[in-house]
Amino acid sequence: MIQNFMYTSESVTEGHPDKLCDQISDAIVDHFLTQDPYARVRAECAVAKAIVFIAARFASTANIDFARLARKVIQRIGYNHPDFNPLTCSILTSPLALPVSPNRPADESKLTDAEIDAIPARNQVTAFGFACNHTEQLMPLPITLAHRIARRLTEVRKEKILPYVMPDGKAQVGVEFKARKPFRIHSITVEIHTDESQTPDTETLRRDLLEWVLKPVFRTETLKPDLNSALVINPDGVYAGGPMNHSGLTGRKNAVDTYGEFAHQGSKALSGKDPGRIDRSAAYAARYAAKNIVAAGLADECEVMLSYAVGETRPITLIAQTFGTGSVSDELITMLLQECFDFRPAAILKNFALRQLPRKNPLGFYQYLATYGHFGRGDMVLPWEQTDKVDVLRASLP
Amino acid sequence: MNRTVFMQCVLPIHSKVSGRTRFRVAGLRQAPGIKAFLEKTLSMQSDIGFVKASTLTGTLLITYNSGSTSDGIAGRIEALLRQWEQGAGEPVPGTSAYRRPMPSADLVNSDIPEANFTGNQWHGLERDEILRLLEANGETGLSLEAWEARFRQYGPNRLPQGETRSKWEMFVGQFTSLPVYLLAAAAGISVATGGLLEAGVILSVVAANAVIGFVTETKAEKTIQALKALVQPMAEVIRDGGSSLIPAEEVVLGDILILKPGFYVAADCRILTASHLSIDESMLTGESMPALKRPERLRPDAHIPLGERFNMAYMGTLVTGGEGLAVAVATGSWTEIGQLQILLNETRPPQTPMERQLERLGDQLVLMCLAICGVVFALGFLRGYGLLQMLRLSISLAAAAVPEGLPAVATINFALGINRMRKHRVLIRNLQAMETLGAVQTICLDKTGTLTMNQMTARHLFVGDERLELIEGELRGPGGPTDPARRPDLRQLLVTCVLCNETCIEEHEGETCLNGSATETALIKLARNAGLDIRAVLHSALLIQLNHRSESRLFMTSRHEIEGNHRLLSVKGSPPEVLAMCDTYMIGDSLAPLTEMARLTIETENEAMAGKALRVLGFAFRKLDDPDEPADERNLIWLGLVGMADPVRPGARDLIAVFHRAGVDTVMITGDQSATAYAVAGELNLSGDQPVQILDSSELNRVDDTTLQALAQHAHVYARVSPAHKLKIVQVLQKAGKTVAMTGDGINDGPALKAADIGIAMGGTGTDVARDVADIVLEEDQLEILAAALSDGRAIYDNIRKTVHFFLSTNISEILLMFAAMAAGVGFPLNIMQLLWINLISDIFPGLALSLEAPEPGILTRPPRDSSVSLFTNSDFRSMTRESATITAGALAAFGFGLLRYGPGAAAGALAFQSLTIGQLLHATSCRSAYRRSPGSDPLAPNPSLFLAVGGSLCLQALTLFYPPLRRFLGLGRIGLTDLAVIAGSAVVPLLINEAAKPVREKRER
Repeated sequence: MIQNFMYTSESVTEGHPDKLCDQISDAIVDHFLTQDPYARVRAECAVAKAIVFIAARFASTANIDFARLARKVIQRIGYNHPDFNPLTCSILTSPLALPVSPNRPADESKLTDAEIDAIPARNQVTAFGFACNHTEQLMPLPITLAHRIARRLTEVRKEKILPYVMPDGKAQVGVEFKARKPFRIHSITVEIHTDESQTPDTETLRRDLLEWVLKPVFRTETLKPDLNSALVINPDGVYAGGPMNHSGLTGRKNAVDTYGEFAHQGSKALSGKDPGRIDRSAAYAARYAAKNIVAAGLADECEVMLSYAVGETRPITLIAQTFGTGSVSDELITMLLQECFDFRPAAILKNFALRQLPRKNPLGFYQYLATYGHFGRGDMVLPWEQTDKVDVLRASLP
Repeated sequence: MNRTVFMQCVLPIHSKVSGRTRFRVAGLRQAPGIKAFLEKTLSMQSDIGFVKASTLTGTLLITYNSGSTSDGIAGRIEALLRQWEQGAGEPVPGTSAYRRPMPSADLVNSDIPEANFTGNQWHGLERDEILRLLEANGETGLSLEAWEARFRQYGPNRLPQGETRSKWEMFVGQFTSLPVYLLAAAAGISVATGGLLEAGVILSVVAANAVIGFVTETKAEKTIQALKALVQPMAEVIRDGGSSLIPAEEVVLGDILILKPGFYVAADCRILTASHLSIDESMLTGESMPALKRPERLRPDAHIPLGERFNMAYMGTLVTGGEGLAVAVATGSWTEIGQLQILLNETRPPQTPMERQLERLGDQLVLMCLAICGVVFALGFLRGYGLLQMLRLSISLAAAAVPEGLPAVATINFALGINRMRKHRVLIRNLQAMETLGAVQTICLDKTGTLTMNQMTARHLFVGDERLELIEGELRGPGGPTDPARRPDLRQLLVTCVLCNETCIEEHEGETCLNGSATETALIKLARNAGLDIRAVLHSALLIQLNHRSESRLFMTSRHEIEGNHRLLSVKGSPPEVLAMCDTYMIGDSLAPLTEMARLTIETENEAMAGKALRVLGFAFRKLDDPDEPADERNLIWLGLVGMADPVRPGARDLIAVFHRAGVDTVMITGDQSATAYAVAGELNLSGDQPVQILDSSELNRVDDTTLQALAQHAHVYARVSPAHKLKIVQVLQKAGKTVAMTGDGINDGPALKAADIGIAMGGTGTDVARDVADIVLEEDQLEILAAALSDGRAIYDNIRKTVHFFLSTNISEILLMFAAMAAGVGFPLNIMQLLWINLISDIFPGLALSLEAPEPGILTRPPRDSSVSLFTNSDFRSMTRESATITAGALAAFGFGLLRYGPGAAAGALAFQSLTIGQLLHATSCRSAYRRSPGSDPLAPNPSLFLAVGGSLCLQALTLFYPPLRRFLGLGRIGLTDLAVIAGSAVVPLLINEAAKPVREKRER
């Protein structure tokens, strides 16, 4: 096992076109589930040349104005460029309403164990969950730092601290590891779209970002950039950002949504699908399992792999790996997971109340998950981030 | 003689072609003296080829050697002008060399340098200066006396009318065609060789052809000329201090015109005041986006292009938005459009592409026929026939075979189509529309008023936090009937419905008459039904200001004066946009902050209403204590939502299905939000079995063309689109290669209707503008007629093909027969008389009757034709030749039989003649369809005219068998019963073969 290495992870701001698409897709999911928790929906979004394209397939009783939802997301993100703003941007929607099937999913919370057993996976998926003790949220450090910088880029824009900052930006953090532990900050790259009319010179931009973005971010961090850490700002000169300049697509930022490529990740997008889709819910369940293992002190790092086959109720594969950091064997951990967690599709829905979450958070739930990662969120109460299985796990140790 | 100083006054205006430049020459206009002088002196110069000056336009066209430049030439012209000034050249008797360039200039004081006006430089003067020059008054307009005097002086404001062809000209025209010349030549040779009788017959054939041609052409011409008379423009002017609507012909110089959307500009005029005035000048400038007009003065430069003279408006252009006042500076033929029309010297609508195509085809065929006849002549001569005999025969053959009047086939078909459509109450305003109609690939339909009834009724309300429903005129909430008197929030909503509303309310003998848009009258009715005293509400709040909904603000606001010198702001519009301007909402009698949750509830309600295909409007208001407080739309108080139903027209869904079966894409355009549009699209099944694609954009103009072009190929619905963007939609569809039809009824629809390949105005509810610019007017708003029109349009195209097909295949068969017999060395099957007979009876009437074919069954289940493919393809010509060959083979067989039985002579000729003529007549029935009907498919609708034409011709043909004088006259030999059987066989068998060779039209799955 390699112990010393350098690792970079990237995050993007909520104004990044790919993330804009993720948010619109998930706003649609939110809207359907708020009105109709049992809705089935796939919402894909793309943006190119300042035009938003939405293709949605759904079976639901809800009424929905896709274009209005998209405009609302664009408004919330804060685009007000003349070429791309919530009022005038063009939106092509292609809704395909499927008949609402009479035997649509029932309320999982009322299902008996036997009934849950009768609901198999409808899609094939291999999902990974990961946790490590780099941070309090048990997330890898590079992605955590990248998220914090990206978040701060949005803050300085919305609070008008740096008025020239536009919604689209990117942050990349390289961390050097020694003995699999973060050792120093190797490099930080920030790409930020700036308003053409008031773009500052390179020096001012660098100074501003250092002062108003990086310093506040690292003030609370134990690992801070040192004198040798590289800080790169807009390496290509001007960053031509925003949907008027570069295109975006739902599901293109899987690493940002998950662990910054520090662990395995499934290739399937999380955004734009109702949680009845096993590819979405399994990713949450796997994280829940991995996080509880690390929280229980059974390992410093844990990756959980769940593989589902169409028609099977239980995952056909469940493997935990600890990369040599476990206090017990990987086999034992896998066994513990089998004992203490329920990975059946309907059980995940039931335990996390995934269908009901948008109703409980009527101002939007999934659409907020779509930015700054689905995992390790300190700012949201997420059922898969709870470490409520720690005691059970410990008690189950032989 | 009044001599004026020439300023820099020779300028090249068109010099794209090297060696050829058009100059504008100041002072040339209306100055024949200068024209003669320039033409004479310039054409004497060695490097100059061609010189042509026009006193009408004041331009000079010169061609010159490549060694010269247009600048050099311009210098020489200026030098010449200076010479002229100094007295060179001969004055032309009766003209003054420097007559004022325009009638308007007669009013100009002599102290104004005249050169300022040459080239119509009104744009370069201050408005007051113009008013002074024209002795006009910008406020009160002309007095009646002044108008009378000017009207007498300048005459009516009428464009130069192209001379319509007189009947005599049209009759003479019948004799000026190639076949007639050929026949005349044949007659002349006959006379010279003593065949007087023959000459007489030839001439009567000519006469008969001419009469038939004359009668059909006069009828067609009458129909087509009638298209022009449909336009009778009116103008609104200020006279004697008041405005009045007068015929545009009565506008004179100095009249103050009121420019309003929907009116054509009645004369060339200078803008005096303008507020958002936009004018569609595409007819003059080719620029399809409306031009914005302002009153400011431009620099006095004669070479500013018309399209950039923003302070001028030109006759015949269309006001598309805003309003303004303008003073007439040129009328009638002195307007820009008048000059253009003189240049084009249009006497009738220009030829349509199809007419041109037919003319070209005709010309090519004439050459081909002549060549073949030449070969026949040469062959005969070589084989030892007499020179004169051969000459007469080949000339007659040419006359019989040359396809006369191919373009007329299209004209006649168009005229027939126009009349047929008129029976459906569909008015065709443009000849070309007849041709294009059959090729329409995409039809853009307005939602409101076209696909729906435009009868709005309020159905659902959401006020405070309560849903209300309107059942049988009564507002009901969850707890039963609701009385606005006890619900201040509801009351305020209804008051806003009434105030922010332009509906005109009139009392007629106790009955209230509401005059306004369907949406707004629905809101008044809602308030009235709920028991609101409309008059009292209107009296208590006087309207001060009204801001209409526009592309960037999807809401309307009105400002009112209420008691105590307070102001009230009322707002209605697109729910999300109105909601975004509010920060509190009214619930019961109190105000509550609009929390995120409250907004969400309202948005969900909006979506629920839109999902029921309702048009939803949001309402808000605000009271301003200080009358001077700016009435901006912020901090508004939200009142609620009103959802209105506009039922889909019965039959609209079926019509859409008809279009889809006919391979025509349908596109719906609406200003509604996309959820409403989605629901309506679902009701109409607008996207067939595809998922519906909705393009939601309030500013389509911002999308770049190539992108929009790509999107337009897929979008079924355009939502939140303002009418002004319809033009863009038409243009991108056209750029994507589609032939586009567009419906419209509003003022704003004008440019789009004009740009569309087929503009369709909804006549019943439509404005005059829409009617004036459209190609087709549906006089009743019966949308289903569109299906009939589409089918007719396609049938016309088919019928033109059928007629021409018949003409060509039969004519070729004559030539082939003569040629083959000659080549085989078996003599002439037909003599001159027989050829003429065939030309007379087997051509014209069956051909005309084919123009009257009803649309073939299934005409609306096949895809539209590709407008880029020409009328006849090579494979068409191949099948025509094949059919001709079959008919010829039949006739040759009969001829051969005759030769064997009777030897060369009249009897064998009779066999060939009968076989060929009958074969041709029967072929007319084969030309009714290019396809063989498969067993079980719908039969063709009967065509009584064809039955009559073929039957009648066959009867005449029978006379040649049984009526001896006629038989002798035609030089036919006696034949027996066996021969009759042979004739019948040789005429019918080719028909059967030709029928069998036709492809079978695949039955399309429904």
